[in-house]
Amino acid sequence: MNMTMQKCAPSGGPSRTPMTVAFLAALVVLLLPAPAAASQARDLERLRRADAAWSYLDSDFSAEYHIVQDVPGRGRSTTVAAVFRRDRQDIYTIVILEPEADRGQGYLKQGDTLWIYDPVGARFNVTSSRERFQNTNARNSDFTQSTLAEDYRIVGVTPTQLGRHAAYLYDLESDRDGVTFPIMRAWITDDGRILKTEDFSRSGQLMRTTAIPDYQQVAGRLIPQRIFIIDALEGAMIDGRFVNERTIITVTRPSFQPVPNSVFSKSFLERIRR
Amino acid sequence: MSRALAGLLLAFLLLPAAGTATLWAQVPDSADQPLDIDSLFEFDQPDDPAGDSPAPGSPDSTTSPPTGTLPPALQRVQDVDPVRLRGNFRFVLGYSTGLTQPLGEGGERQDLAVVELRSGLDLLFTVSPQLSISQRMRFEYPKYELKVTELAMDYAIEDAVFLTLGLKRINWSRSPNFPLTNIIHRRADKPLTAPRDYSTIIGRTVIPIGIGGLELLVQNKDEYQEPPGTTPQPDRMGYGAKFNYASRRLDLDVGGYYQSGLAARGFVSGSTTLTDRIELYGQGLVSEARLRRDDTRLRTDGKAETIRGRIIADNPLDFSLGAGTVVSFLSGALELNGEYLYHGEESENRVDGSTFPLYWGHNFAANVDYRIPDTPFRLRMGYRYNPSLDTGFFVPRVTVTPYRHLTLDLIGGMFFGAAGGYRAANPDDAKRPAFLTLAATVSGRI
Repeated sequence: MNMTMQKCAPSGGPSRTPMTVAFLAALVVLLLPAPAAASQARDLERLRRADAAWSYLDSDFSAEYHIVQDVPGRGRSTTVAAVFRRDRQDIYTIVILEPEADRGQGYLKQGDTLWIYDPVGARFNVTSSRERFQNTNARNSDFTQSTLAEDYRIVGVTPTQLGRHAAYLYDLESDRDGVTFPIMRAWITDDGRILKTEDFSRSGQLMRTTAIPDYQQVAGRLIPQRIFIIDALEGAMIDGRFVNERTIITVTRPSFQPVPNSVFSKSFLERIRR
Repeated sequence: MSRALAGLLLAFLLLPAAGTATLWAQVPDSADQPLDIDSLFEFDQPDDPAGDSPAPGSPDSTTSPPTGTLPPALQRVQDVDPVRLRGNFRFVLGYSTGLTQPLGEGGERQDLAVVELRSGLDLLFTVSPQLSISQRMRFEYPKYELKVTELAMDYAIEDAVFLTLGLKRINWSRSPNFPLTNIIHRRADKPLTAPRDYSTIIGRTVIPIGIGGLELLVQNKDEYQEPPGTTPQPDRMGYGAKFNYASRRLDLDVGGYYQSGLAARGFVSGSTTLTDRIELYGQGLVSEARLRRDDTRLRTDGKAETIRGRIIADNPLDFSLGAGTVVSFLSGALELNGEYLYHGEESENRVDGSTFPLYWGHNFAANVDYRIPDTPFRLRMGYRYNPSLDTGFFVPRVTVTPYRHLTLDLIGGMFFGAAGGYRAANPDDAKRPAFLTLAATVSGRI
């Protein structure tokens, strides 16, 4: 080994021995994955930042969601819901405030179990997080904390531009049965804001596109201000062109104030003034 | 110079307006216009893209929440008018044809007109965040009956104890098919003049514990008012308790109920959700016939028979056990349900609020519910069979909701097996074991 080094040291020119070439090749092989690994770590860290921006583990979160549903050919309807989240316990409660006819309907989710209270039958039924929320394009799973880094594996990350925003385009896949969509593309800024997602079925069919073009600052945290959801499959032909169903969610009255424990209970939903 | 300055000023004033017009054009005013979602990222967004929502930053929006008060969203939940009046209606018109005997056993054809009219009125009073009172009434044709379905007071103590007093609907069922655990609504075996619903006079205390909690109730069923309409005697009251433990893995109920003249019953029921689309549930019940000496006489076959409620008990102690599953597919559009129940009780099997009573022996149920995506169609199928008593039914149903408030139903009913059982409990007006009904329903709430 020492001999080889002594021979190589003065040469410095093109006449490298096979041993030197092998050494350099080995060095390249050893060093090349390092930037790749660092890049992967940065990608994962950015995804975790995106999760953190949508997850409120250190406090309760509550807000009023104005959900405007546009169904081509059938018009526009508005649902107003009060949303209460306690992400550290993976719980949320949702109470329908408008329309008046649906007032008092409620959802209570803990872990994988989502109860919906039927005030007419006076009983709780179990429903799925994958199901549509109040017949809108939102899913019940849209109201809980984000767990992209936990649920999905990163297939690819590409720097890109989305309108005025520099972003990273994430190709994500999941084999977990609990996720609503097994394939997802997400445009995420470097500071962890999710700007847009495309959700696909396992067969690769685009199911819906979601855009969060603006965020609002509340108590030093960024929370979505408006969420646009375009259903890729549902819609109608209007004047010769296909118009998709869409839902626009506006988040108002956001707060990180503590929510009373009783709000996250079945008895709370039972006694709501309808 | 001044003209140039005026032009510059005009341009300065008009530019934001032009920009705003461009931005508003990105989010269509009509549901029939498409939305280019990528264009949302080209500009700063206007405050009210849909035109129907309060804008963040408006008085409705709280970007710097006050401290020491309830969260604004919770205030909104509690902020209701002190007096509210709500109405609901349901009008059904249809035609039904059927057979007087089960399919394949002959019988004569019998046709019926289907007419049902119902209107309801709710008066809701909110005296304070702690106290509210509800009164719900409905009038029905063809019974010409005015019925008070709810007259109750709800009172909260320190957001920790919740009291209810009055006539109110309460449901302890776990199963969608066999209301085994709805023990507070069991009836003695006296003949009924009319079906009853869940409403019952109660005093109830609920103490939330975690997501679930403890529920204690004192109940009076109207059949125990002797004579009807009078204040109940203390020994005619029923006493029940239920504890609900709900965690991310298990939703568990343990409860019991005692009323003089009825068997004492205790139950355990639970459910769990697997992989978000499979729900498993189970229920078990033990009942002990409380035969009072002055009520009871022994028959020659060794069975005990009571005069009040005609209880016939071959065993003082009975057990029931069952399990079922609900599996959803296609984002919840398709739901399958299957259930088995062994029911050990031979008496007191009517349950208020349920179309069919419980039947002794082995019971099977299967249900399919499919909402066809992108259409107003919904297909449902219900099947029950009890091989112990050889009784069952099969009811397929197609529902169409073509317009708001209007529902069309095509319902086939096939009841089979022995003459009693489900055939006797058949909700068809003429008890026809086979029928096909087409009905239009207009309903709504205001």
